[in-house]
Amino acid sequence: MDSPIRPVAALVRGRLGRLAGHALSHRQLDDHRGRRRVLDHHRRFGPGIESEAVNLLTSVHYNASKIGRNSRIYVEFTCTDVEKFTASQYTSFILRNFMRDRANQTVLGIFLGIFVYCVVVLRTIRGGDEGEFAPSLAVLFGVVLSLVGIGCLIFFIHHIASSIQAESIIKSAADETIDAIDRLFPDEMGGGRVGRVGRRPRARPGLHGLAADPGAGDRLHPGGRRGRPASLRASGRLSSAWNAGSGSSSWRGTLVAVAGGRSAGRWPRRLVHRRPPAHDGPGRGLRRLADCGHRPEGAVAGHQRHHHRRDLRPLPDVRGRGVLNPGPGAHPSASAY
Amino acid sequence: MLNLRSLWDRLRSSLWFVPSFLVTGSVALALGLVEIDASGKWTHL
Repeated sequence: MDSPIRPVAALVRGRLGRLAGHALSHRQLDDHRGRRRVLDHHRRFGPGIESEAVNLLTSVHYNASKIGRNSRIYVEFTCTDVEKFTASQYTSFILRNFMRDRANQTVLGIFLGIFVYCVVVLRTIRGGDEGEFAPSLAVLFGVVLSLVGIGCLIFFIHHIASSIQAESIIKSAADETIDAIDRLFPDEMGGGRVGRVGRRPRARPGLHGLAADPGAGDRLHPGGRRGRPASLRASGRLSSAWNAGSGSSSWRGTLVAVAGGRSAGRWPRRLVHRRPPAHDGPGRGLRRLADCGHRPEGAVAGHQRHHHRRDLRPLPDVRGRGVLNPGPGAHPSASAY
Repeated sequence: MLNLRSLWDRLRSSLWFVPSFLVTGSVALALGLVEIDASGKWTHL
C-alpha cells in the first residue's frame, strides 16, 4: 500500500529534485550565468528528464486518484462511517449539514483538483521523436500540490473526528436554533431584515411562507379559499404540508416547498426536493437537540456520565435574558444543552 | 431576494458547486503553467 509520501520520496530521489534544488540555490545569480548553469545541467541530465517528470506526476496523480477517485478514504472513512455512526447514535437530523459543510466540500475539491491537474500536465509531456518537453514548473507545482493534499488529508481526518463528537453536534444545533430564534424574534419587532426566514411573505405566499405562518395550513384546506391542494393530498404530502408551521414532524428535511403563484389556478407551480436550510424555523434545531437527549445510550448520555454533569451548570443566555439550562428535573434535551 | 437566497443555499448544500470551482481552477492552473514552460520564460530548471 503506497503512502501519500511517495511523491516526496520521488522528489528527493529523482533527478528533478536535484535539478530543483540546483535551480533554487542559484536563483540569485545573474541571468546569463544562471542560464548557462541550467543549460549545462540540462545537457548532463537531459535525456530522460521527461520520464522523470512522468514518473513524478504519475505518482502524484496515483495518490490523488487513490484519495479522490477510488474514494477509499473520503467515502468509506467519512460517509459510510458517519452514516453508521448516525444510525447507531443519532438520527438523520443531526448530521444533516454534513454535505453542507464547507470544509468537506473544499477537501473533496482539492483532491479532485490535484487529480485533474496531474492528468492535464501529464498529457503535455512529450519525449522521443516528437521532441522532448517536460514542463518543469508545472511538475514542481504538482509536487507542491501533493504536499497540500497531504495537509488536507490530515485536516480532513481531524475535522471529521471532531465534528462527530457530541459537543460539536450540540453546539451546532444550539447555534442554529438560537440564530433561528433571533430571526423570528428580533430585538426590535418589525425591524427584521427583508428576505430573512420568519418574515411573513406578503406578495406570494407559498409553503416557504407556511414555515413561518402556523395558521396558513388552515387556509390551504381543500375547502378553503385558495383550494387546489388535492393533488398534493393524493400523494400523501398535504398533511405534512399542513404541519409546516409546527416544526414537529420529521418530514421537514425532505419535503418540499411549493412556490405559490399569484393565482390559485397555477398552484402548485413547482416542487423542489429539499427545503433550503435558511427557511427552517427553530423547530428543527430544537428537534435536533431533543434527538440528542432522547438517546439514553447515545453519546450525549455517555458524555453526561463521563463528566458527572459537572459542566451542566446553568448557562447564561447569549442575550443576557436569563439561563438556558432550566436545572434539575427538566427535560433531558434541555439539560443536555 | 428569497429565491436568490434559496438558490444560493441549494448551491452551497451541493457537493458539486465548490469542487467544480476547484477543479476548474486546477485545470486553468495546469494549462497556465504549461504555457509558461512552453514559452521559455521559466528558465530556472
